[in-house]
Amino acid sequence: MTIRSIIILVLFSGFLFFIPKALLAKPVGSLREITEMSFGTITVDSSGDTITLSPSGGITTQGTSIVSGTYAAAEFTVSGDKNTAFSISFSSGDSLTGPGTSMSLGSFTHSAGTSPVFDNKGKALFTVGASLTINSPQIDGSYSGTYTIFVDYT
Amino acid sequence: MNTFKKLSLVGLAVASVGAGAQYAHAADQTGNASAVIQNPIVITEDTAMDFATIIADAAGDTVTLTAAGSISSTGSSTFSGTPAAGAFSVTGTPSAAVTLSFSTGDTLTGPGTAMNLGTFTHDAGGSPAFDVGGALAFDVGANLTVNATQTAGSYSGTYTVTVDYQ
Repeated sequence: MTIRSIIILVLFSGFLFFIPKALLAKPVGSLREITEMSFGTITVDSSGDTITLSPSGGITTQGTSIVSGTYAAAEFTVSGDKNTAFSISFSSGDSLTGPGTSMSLGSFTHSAGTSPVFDNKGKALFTVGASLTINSPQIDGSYSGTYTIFVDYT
Repeated sequence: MNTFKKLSLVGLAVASVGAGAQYAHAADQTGNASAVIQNPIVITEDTAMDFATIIADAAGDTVTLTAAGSISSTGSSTFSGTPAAGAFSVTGTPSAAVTLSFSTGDTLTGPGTAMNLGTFTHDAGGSPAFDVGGALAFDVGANLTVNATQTAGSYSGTYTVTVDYQ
Protein backbone atom coordinates (compact mmCIF):
# COMPACT_ATOMS: atom_id res chain seq x y z
CA MET A 1 0.00 0.00 0.00
CA THR A 2 2.66 2.50 1.08
CA ILE A 3 4.92 1.69 -1.89
CA ARG A 4 2.01 2.22 -4.29
CA SER A 5 1.30 5.63 -2.75
CA ILE A 6 4.94 6.69 -3.11
CA ILE A 7 5.01 5.62 -6.79
CA ILE A 8 1.81 7.59 -7.46
CA LEU A 9 3.29 10.68 -5.79
CA VAL A 10 6.51 10.41 -7.84
CA LEU A 11 4.54 10.00 -11.09
CA PHE A 12 2.41 13.11 -10.45
CA SER A 13 5.33 15.29 -9.34
CA GLY A 14 7.20 14.19 -12.50
CA PHE A 15 4.23 15.31 -14.55
CA LEU A 16 4.29 18.75 -12.88
CA PHE A 17 7.96 19.21 -13.72
CA PHE A 18 7.30 18.44 -17.38
CA ILE A 19 4.65 21.13 -18.04
CA PRO A 20 6.24 23.42 -20.69
CA LYS A 21 5.86 27.20 -20.50
CA ALA A 22 3.46 27.26 -23.47
CA LEU A 23 0.69 25.44 -21.58
CA LEU A 24 0.83 28.06 -18.85
CA ALA A 25 1.11 31.00 -21.36
CA LYS A 26 -1.90 33.26 -21.86
CA PRO A 27 -3.40 32.65 -25.32
CA VAL A 28 -3.47 35.56 -27.78
CA GLY A 29 -6.95 36.88 -27.31
CA SER A 30 -9.34 39.81 -27.33
CA LEU A 31 -8.27 40.78 -30.86
CA ARG A 32 -10.75 43.59 -31.45
CA GLU A 33 -11.30 46.18 -34.16
CA ILE A 34 -11.65 49.55 -32.43
CA THR A 35 -11.79 51.72 -35.58
CA GLU A 36 -12.82 50.60 -39.06
CA MET A 37 -10.64 51.40 -42.05
CA SER A 38 -12.16 54.07 -44.28
CA PHE A 39 -10.91 55.70 -47.46
CA GLY A 40 -13.39 58.61 -47.20
CA THR A 41 -14.89 60.03 -50.41
CA ILE A 42 -12.69 59.65 -53.46
CA THR A 43 -13.36 61.90 -56.45
CA VAL A 44 -11.69 59.62 -58.94
CA ASP A 45 -9.06 60.10 -61.61
CA SER A 46 -10.82 58.83 -64.77
CA SER A 47 -7.83 56.65 -65.68
CA GLY A 48 -7.97 54.74 -62.39
CA ASP A 49 -5.75 55.16 -59.33
CA THR A 50 -4.14 53.55 -56.29
CA ILE A 51 -5.06 55.13 -52.96
CA THR A 52 -2.77 54.35 -50.02
CA LEU A 53 -3.90 54.80 -46.42
CA SER A 54 -0.97 54.68 -43.99
CA PRO A 55 -1.19 53.35 -40.41
CA SER A 56 -0.68 56.94 -39.24
CA GLY A 57 -3.93 57.86 -41.01
CA GLY A 58 -2.34 59.81 -43.86
CA ILE A 59 -3.67 59.21 -47.36
CA THR A 60 -1.91 59.51 -50.73
CA THR A 61 -2.93 58.94 -54.35
CA GLN A 62 -0.76 57.78 -57.21
CA GLY A 63 -2.86 59.68 -59.81
CA THR A 64 -5.04 62.75 -59.64
CA SER A 65 -7.91 61.46 -57.49
CA ILE A 66 -8.95 63.73 -54.63
CA VAL A 67 -9.79 62.30 -51.21
CA SER A 68 -12.21 64.19 -48.97
CA GLY A 69 -14.48 63.50 -46.02
CA THR A 70 -13.39 61.37 -43.10
CA TYR A 71 -10.76 58.74 -43.80
CA ALA A 72 -9.08 56.64 -41.12
CA ALA A 73 -6.64 53.81 -40.58
CA ALA A 74 -8.08 50.77 -38.81
CA GLU A 75 -7.24 50.33 -35.13
CA PHE A 76 -7.00 47.03 -33.26
CA THR A 77 -6.27 45.97 -29.68
CA VAL A 78 -5.06 42.53 -28.71
CA SER A 79 -3.94 40.86 -25.48
CA GLY A 80 -1.32 38.21 -24.80
CA ASP A 81 1.67 37.32 -22.66
CA LYS A 82 3.32 40.41 -21.23
CA ASN A 83 6.61 41.49 -22.86
CA THR A 84 6.27 38.69 -25.41
CA ALA A 85 6.89 39.06 -29.14
CA PHE A 86 4.03 38.53 -31.58
CA SER A 87 3.49 38.70 -35.34
CA ILE A 88 0.74 40.33 -37.38
CA SER A 89 -0.33 39.05 -40.79
CA PHE A 90 -3.21 39.64 -43.16
CA SER A 91 -5.43 37.88 -45.66
CA SER A 92 -4.95 38.38 -49.41
CA GLY A 93 -7.37 38.72 -52.30
CA ASP A 94 -9.73 41.07 -50.46
CA SER A 95 -11.81 43.70 -52.21
CA LEU A 96 -14.42 46.41 -51.69
CA THR A 97 -17.67 45.71 -53.53
CA GLY A 98 -20.48 48.06 -54.49
CA PRO A 99 -22.35 49.43 -57.51
CA GLY A 100 -19.42 48.96 -59.91
CA THR A 101 -16.39 46.75 -60.45
CA SER A 102 -14.90 45.52 -57.18
CA MET A 103 -11.76 47.30 -56.05
CA SER A 104 -8.77 45.30 -54.76
CA LEU A 105 -7.76 45.97 -51.17
CA GLY A 106 -4.29 44.86 -50.15
CA SER A 107 -0.70 45.72 -49.28
CA PHE A 108 -1.63 45.96 -45.60
CA THR A 109 0.74 47.83 -43.27
CA HIS A 110 0.64 48.31 -39.50
CA SER A 111 2.10 50.55 -36.79
CA ALA A 112 3.42 47.81 -34.47
CA GLY A 113 6.92 47.92 -36.01
CA THR A 114 9.25 45.16 -37.16
CA SER A 115 9.22 43.41 -33.74
CA PRO A 116 5.80 43.81 -32.11
CA VAL A 117 5.74 43.04 -28.39
CA PHE A 118 2.91 42.97 -25.85
CA ASP A 119 3.44 45.63 -23.19
CA ASN A 120 4.08 44.88 -19.52
CA LYS A 121 0.33 44.60 -18.99
CA GLY A 122 0.00 42.09 -21.86
CA LYS A 123 -1.71 44.54 -24.20
CA ALA A 124 -0.95 45.87 -27.66
CA LEU A 125 -2.69 48.58 -29.69
CA PHE A 126 -1.84 49.24 -33.32
CA THR A 127 -3.22 50.78 -36.48
CA VAL A 128 -3.54 49.24 -39.95
CA GLY A 129 -3.31 50.84 -43.39
CA ALA A 130 -3.79 49.43 -46.90
CA SER A 131 -3.91 50.27 -50.61
CA LEU A 132 -7.11 50.44 -52.66
CA THR A 133 -7.04 50.00 -56.45
CA ILE A 134 -9.60 52.08 -58.32
CA ASN A 135 -10.67 50.89 -61.76
CA SER A 136 -11.30 52.91 -64.92
CA PRO A 137 -14.18 53.64 -64.98
CA GLN A 138 -15.37 53.23 -61.40
CA ILE A 139 -19.12 53.72 -60.90
CA ASP A 140 -20.18 56.20 -58.20
CA GLY A 141 -21.46 54.92 -54.88
CA SER A 142 -20.63 53.26 -51.57
CA TYR A 143 -18.28 50.31 -51.54
CA SER A 144 -17.37 48.10 -48.57
CA GLY A 145 -15.57 44.88 -47.80
CA THR A 146 -13.63 42.90 -45.21
CA TYR A 147 -10.16 41.47 -44.62
CA THR A 148 -8.74 39.20 -41.93
CA ILE A 149 -5.98 40.05 -39.47
CA PHE A 150 -4.00 37.27 -37.71
CA VAL A 151 -1.99 37.77 -34.52
CA ASP A 152 0.28 34.98 -33.27
CA TYR A 153 3.23 34.50 -30.94
CA THR A 154 6.45 34.32 -32.93
CA MET B 1 -0.49 -5.00 -9.26
CA ASN B 2 -3.16 -4.27 -11.92
CA THR B 3 -4.02 -0.88 -10.38
CA PHE B 4 -0.34 0.08 -10.24
CA LYS B 5 0.08 -0.64 -13.98
CA LYS B 6 -3.02 1.42 -14.84
CA LEU B 7 -1.85 4.36 -12.73
CA SER B 8 1.63 4.35 -14.27
CA LEU B 9 0.16 4.27 -17.77
CA VAL B 10 -2.10 7.23 -16.97
CA GLY B 11 0.87 9.07 -15.47
CA LEU B 12 2.96 8.49 -18.61
CA ALA B 13 0.12 9.51 -20.91
CA VAL B 14 -0.45 12.79 -19.07
CA ALA B 15 3.27 13.56 -18.97
CA SER B 16 3.72 12.94 -22.70
CA VAL B 17 0.78 15.19 -23.54
CA GLY B 18 2.35 17.86 -21.30
CA ALA B 19 5.80 17.58 -22.92
CA GLY B 20 4.39 17.69 -26.46
CA ALA B 21 2.38 20.93 -26.07
CA GLN B 22 3.69 23.91 -28.11
CA TYR B 23 0.32 25.60 -28.78
CA ALA B 24 0.41 28.71 -31.04
CA HIS B 25 -2.70 30.33 -29.42
CA ALA B 26 -3.19 32.50 -32.50
CA ALA B 27 -6.12 34.87 -32.82
CA ASP B 28 -7.78 36.22 -35.94
CA GLN B 29 -10.38 38.94 -36.53
CA THR B 30 -12.31 40.44 -39.42
CA GLY B 31 -11.55 44.04 -40.30
CA ASN B 32 -14.01 46.24 -42.19
CA ALA B 33 -13.12 48.79 -44.88
CA SER B 34 -15.16 51.22 -46.94
CA ALA B 35 -14.93 53.97 -49.53
CA VAL B 36 -17.31 56.28 -51.38
CA ILE B 37 -16.57 56.82 -55.06
CA GLN B 38 -17.54 59.98 -56.89
CA ASN B 39 -16.77 60.83 -60.51
CA PRO B 40 -15.91 64.49 -61.05
CA ILE B 41 -17.52 66.43 -63.83
CA VAL B 42 -14.82 67.89 -66.04
CA ILE B 43 -15.89 70.46 -68.65
CA THR B 44 -13.68 71.58 -71.52
CA GLU B 45 -14.52 74.36 -73.98
CA ASP B 46 -13.58 73.09 -77.41
CA THR B 47 -14.80 76.10 -79.47
CA ALA B 48 -15.32 79.67 -78.27
CA MET B 49 -18.68 81.20 -79.18
CA ASP B 50 -18.19 83.65 -82.02
CA PHE B 51 -20.72 86.06 -83.55
CA ALA B 52 -18.14 86.86 -86.27
CA THR B 53 -18.76 90.20 -88.03
CA ILE B 54 -22.01 92.09 -87.45
CA ILE B 55 -22.69 95.04 -89.75
CA ALA B 56 -24.97 96.55 -87.18
CA ASP B 57 -28.39 98.12 -87.58
CA ALA B 58 -27.81 101.72 -86.36
CA ALA B 59 -31.00 101.51 -84.28
CA GLY B 60 -29.56 98.60 -82.31
CA ASP B 61 -30.49 94.93 -82.69
CA THR B 62 -30.83 91.56 -80.95
CA VAL B 63 -28.63 89.03 -82.70
CA THR B 64 -29.33 85.33 -82.18
CA LEU B 65 -26.68 82.67 -82.63
CA THR B 66 -28.21 79.19 -82.46
CA ALA B 67 -26.53 76.11 -80.98
CA ALA B 68 -26.32 74.90 -84.58
CA GLY B 69 -24.19 77.93 -85.44
CA SER B 70 -26.62 79.89 -87.62
CA ILE B 71 -27.00 83.64 -87.06
CA SER B 72 -29.97 85.99 -87.51
CA SER B 73 -31.45 89.14 -85.94
CA THR B 74 -34.73 90.89 -85.39
CA GLY B 75 -33.56 94.13 -87.05
CA SER B 76 -31.63 94.90 -90.22
CA SER B 77 -28.08 93.94 -89.19
CA THR B 78 -26.18 91.84 -91.74
CA PHE B 79 -23.49 89.29 -91.08
CA SER B 80 -20.19 88.14 -92.53
CA GLY B 81 -17.38 85.83 -91.55
CA THR B 82 -17.93 82.47 -89.91
CA PRO B 83 -20.06 82.48 -86.75
CA ALA B 84 -19.63 79.54 -84.38
CA ALA B 85 -21.64 78.18 -81.48
CA GLY B 86 -19.71 77.49 -78.27
CA ALA B 87 -18.76 73.79 -78.08
CA PHE B 88 -18.09 71.85 -74.88
CA SER B 89 -17.06 68.30 -74.02
CA VAL B 90 -17.73 66.94 -70.55
CA THR B 91 -16.79 63.77 -68.65
CA GLY B 92 -18.46 62.28 -65.59
CA THR B 93 -20.27 59.25 -64.22
CA PRO B 94 -21.34 56.94 -67.05
CA SER B 95 -25.08 57.15 -67.87
CA ALA B 96 -25.75 59.76 -65.16
CA ALA B 97 -28.37 62.43 -65.88
CA VAL B 98 -27.22 66.03 -65.59
CA THR B 99 -28.61 69.55 -65.65
CA LEU B 100 -27.05 72.35 -67.69
CA SER B 101 -27.28 75.96 -66.53
CA PHE B 102 -25.71 79.28 -67.50
CA SER B 103 -24.61 82.46 -65.83
CA THR B 104 -26.55 85.71 -66.14
CA GLY B 105 -25.45 89.31 -66.52
CA ASP B 106 -22.64 88.59 -68.97
CA THR B 107 -21.49 91.12 -71.53
CA LEU B 108 -19.07 91.58 -74.40
CA THR B 109 -16.85 94.59 -73.82
CA GLY B 110 -14.74 96.59 -76.27
CA PRO B 111 -14.36 100.07 -77.74
CA GLY B 112 -18.00 101.02 -77.16
CA THR B 113 -20.85 100.35 -74.75
CA ALA B 114 -20.91 96.81 -73.34
CA MET B 115 -23.32 94.49 -75.13
CA ASN B 116 -25.48 92.11 -73.07
CA LEU B 117 -24.94 88.40 -73.75
CA GLY B 118 -27.66 86.03 -72.55
CA THR B 119 -30.64 83.77 -73.28
CA PHE B 120 -28.32 80.81 -73.72
CA THR B 121 -29.52 77.74 -75.61
CA HIS B 122 -27.94 74.31 -76.03
CA ASP B 123 -28.43 71.16 -78.10
CA ALA B 124 -27.99 68.54 -75.31
CA GLY B 125 -31.75 67.94 -75.38
CA GLY B 126 -34.39 67.81 -72.65
CA SER B 127 -32.71 65.02 -70.65
CA PRO B 128 -28.97 65.45 -70.98
CA ALA B 129 -26.87 62.58 -69.64
CA PHE B 130 -23.41 61.11 -69.89
CA ASP B 131 -23.14 58.20 -72.32
CA VAL B 132 -22.01 54.73 -71.23
CA GLY B 133 -18.42 55.88 -71.51
CA GLY B 134 -19.07 58.88 -69.26
CA ALA B 135 -18.89 61.48 -72.06
CA LEU B 136 -21.23 64.31 -73.09
CA ALA B 137 -20.73 66.95 -75.79
CA PHE B 138 -22.99 69.89 -76.58
CA ASP B 139 -23.06 73.25 -78.35
CA VAL B 140 -24.23 76.58 -76.96
CA GLY B 141 -25.94 79.55 -78.62
CA ALA B 142 -26.96 82.92 -77.19
CA ASN B 143 -28.48 86.33 -77.87
CA LEU B 144 -26.29 89.42 -78.18
CA THR B 145 -27.88 92.86 -77.68
CA VAL B 146 -26.23 95.38 -79.98
CA ASN B 147 -26.78 98.97 -78.81
CA ALA B 148 -27.82 101.81 -81.07
CA THR B 149 -24.82 103.28 -82.91
CA GLN B 150 -22.58 100.61 -81.42
CA THR B 151 -18.95 101.69 -81.86
CA ALA B 152 -17.12 99.52 -84.40
CA GLY B 153 -14.34 97.22 -83.21
CA SER B 154 -13.62 93.91 -81.49
CA TYR B 155 -15.66 92.94 -78.44
CA SER B 156 -15.17 89.93 -76.19
CA GLY B 157 -16.36 88.52 -72.90
CA THR B 158 -17.05 85.37 -70.92
CA TYR B 159 -19.98 83.33 -69.58
CA THR B 160 -20.19 80.29 -67.33
CA VAL B 161 -21.79 76.98 -68.14
CA THR B 162 -22.52 74.66 -65.17
CA VAL B 163 -23.07 70.92 -65.50
CA ASP B 164 -24.40 69.19 -62.40
CA TYR B 165 -25.56 65.71 -61.48
CA GLN B 166 -29.34 65.63 -61.11
